[in-house]
Amino acid sequence: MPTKVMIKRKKKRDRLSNLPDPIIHHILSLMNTKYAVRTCVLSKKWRHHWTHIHSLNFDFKSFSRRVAFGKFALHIFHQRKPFNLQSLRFHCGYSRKPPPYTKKIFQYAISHGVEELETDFLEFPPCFHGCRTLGMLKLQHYRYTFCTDKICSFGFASLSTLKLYQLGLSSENNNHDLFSNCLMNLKNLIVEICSISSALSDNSFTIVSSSLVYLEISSSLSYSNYKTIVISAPRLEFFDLKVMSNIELRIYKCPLLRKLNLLIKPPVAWRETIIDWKQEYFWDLICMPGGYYTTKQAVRLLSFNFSKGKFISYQISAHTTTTVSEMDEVEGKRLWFFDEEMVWQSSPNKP
Amino acid sequence: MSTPSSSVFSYRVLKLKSSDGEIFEVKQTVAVQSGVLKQMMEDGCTEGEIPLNNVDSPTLAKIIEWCNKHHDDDVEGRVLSQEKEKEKEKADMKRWESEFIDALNRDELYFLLIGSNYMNIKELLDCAAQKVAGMVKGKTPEAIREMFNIQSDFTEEEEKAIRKENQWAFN
Repeated sequence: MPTKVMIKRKKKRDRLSNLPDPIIHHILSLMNTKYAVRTCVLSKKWRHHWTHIHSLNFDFKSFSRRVAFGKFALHIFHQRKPFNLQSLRFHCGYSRKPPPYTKKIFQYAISHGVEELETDFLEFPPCFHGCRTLGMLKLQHYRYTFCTDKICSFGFASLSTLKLYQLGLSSENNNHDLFSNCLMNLKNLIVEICSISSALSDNSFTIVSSSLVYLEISSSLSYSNYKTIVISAPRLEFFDLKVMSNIELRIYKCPLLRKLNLLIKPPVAWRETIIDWKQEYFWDLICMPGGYYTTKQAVRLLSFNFSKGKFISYQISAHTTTTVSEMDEVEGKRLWFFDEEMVWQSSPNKP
Repeated sequence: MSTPSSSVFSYRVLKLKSSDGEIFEVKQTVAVQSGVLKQMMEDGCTEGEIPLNNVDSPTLAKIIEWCNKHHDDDVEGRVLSQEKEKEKEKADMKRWESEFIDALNRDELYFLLIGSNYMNIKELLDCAAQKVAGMVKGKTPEAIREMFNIQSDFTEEEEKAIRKENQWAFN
C-alpha cells in the first residue's frame, strides 16, 4: 500500500522546475530564445530563469512582423544578465531587407565576448570586425556568393573553426587561394555543399594554411563543380573529402597528414563492365592524390570509404608495393585486392 | 602490463558506489569522460570505492552505458581522440544517442540530467538537455505545465502582467 502511494507521488513530481538552476539555464540556452522567454509565465520560480541564458538563438522567421523581432531583440539585451555570450545563432531566413537592429545584435555580441557565431547574415557591420573572442564561425546561405577574401578583412584573430555551408565561394586573388593563409589560428575548416563561383574559371580550389589540422570538404551531386583541389597545409593531420565527381587532388607540403578519407562516387558509365571499372577506379584513386607522393612516408593508411559495410584500404609503405584492397568492415576480411604491379600491368595506356 | 609512472592512470578499474549502495566497476579509460572522476584520477585518490551520493544505481547504469559507447581506448593519443570526435559526428553515433535518450521516461531523464551534471559528463548533459529543450520549445505554457507537472503560483492578473512585460516573445 505505501509503495503504491509513493509511486503515485513520484509520478506527479515536477521534473523540470526541480532541476538545479544551471541545468535549467543550459536547457533554455539551447532553444530558440523566443521560446526560452516564454517560460517566464510557467510559475514564479520561472519568471527570471531565462535572463540567465548563456547563448542567444534569434530566428527572424519565427516573428510575423519585422518590428516585433526588433523589439524582442532589444528586450533581450535589456533584461538578460550581463554574462558573457557563449554563442549567437542568428538566422534571418534570406529576407531581402536585413532585420531591424541587426547592427545592435552584432554590437551586443562583440561587447559580451561572443565565442561562437552561426548565421546566414553575411554582411557583418563594421562594428563586428576585429572581434577577438570569436573562436567558431559558421556561415550559410544558399543564394549567396561569398568572397572568401572577406574573412581576412574581418580580422577574427582567434578564429579556430570555420564552417562554410551551402555557399558559392569566390576569391579575387590570382592564386584562387580561398583563405590566403590569413587566419593564423584556424585549426578546423569544414566546407560543405559549397560551389565554386564561375569567377574562378578553372574550378580550382586552393587552400593554403599554416595552422590547419582538420579539413573536411563535402558536396552533393548538384554542387560539386570542383575539378582541382589543391591543399598545402604543413600541420594538416586529417582530411575528409566527399565529392560526387571525378576530381584532381593535389596535396603539397603536408608531412603530418595521418588520415585521408575519400569518398568519391565513380560515374555510372564505369560500372558497366565490372572488372574494368574497378581497375579504372583504382587508377583514378592512385593518380588522384598525385602531389601526395611527397608525403608518402608519413601516410601509412588511407581509407577510402566506399560503400556501407565495406571500405577500400590503400596501403603504402616504403618497403613494399602499394596495395589497394576492399575490406569487409565487420569481419575485417579482405574481399579482393590489387597491388601496384597488377594495376600497372593491366593499364598499358598509363605510364 | 607495466603501469605508467604517472599517478594519472595507476589504477585500471574504478569502483563506483551509487547512492543506493551498488558497486559498479568501470575502466579508467571509460571513466575519464567524467570531469569529476578524471580530476580524482589525476589527484590519485581513486583507491577503494568512490561514493556518488547524487546518482542512484539505475541512473549510474545508464551513465556507464553511455560512457562505454563513447569511450576512447587510446590513452596516449590526444590527436586520436580528436579524430574520434569526428567519427562521433557520424550518423550511426547520432542515431544511437537519440535512441538512448528517447527511450528514457521523464523521471529517468531527470535523474540522468542531475547525474551527468554531478559527474561532469558534458556530452551526456548536452544531449539530455537538448532533449528537454526539444520538448519545451514551441509549446504553450499550459502544455509545458501539463507535460512536466508544473504548478503555476501566479494569479491571473500577475500572469497577465508578466505576459505584457515580455509581450514580444508571445507575438
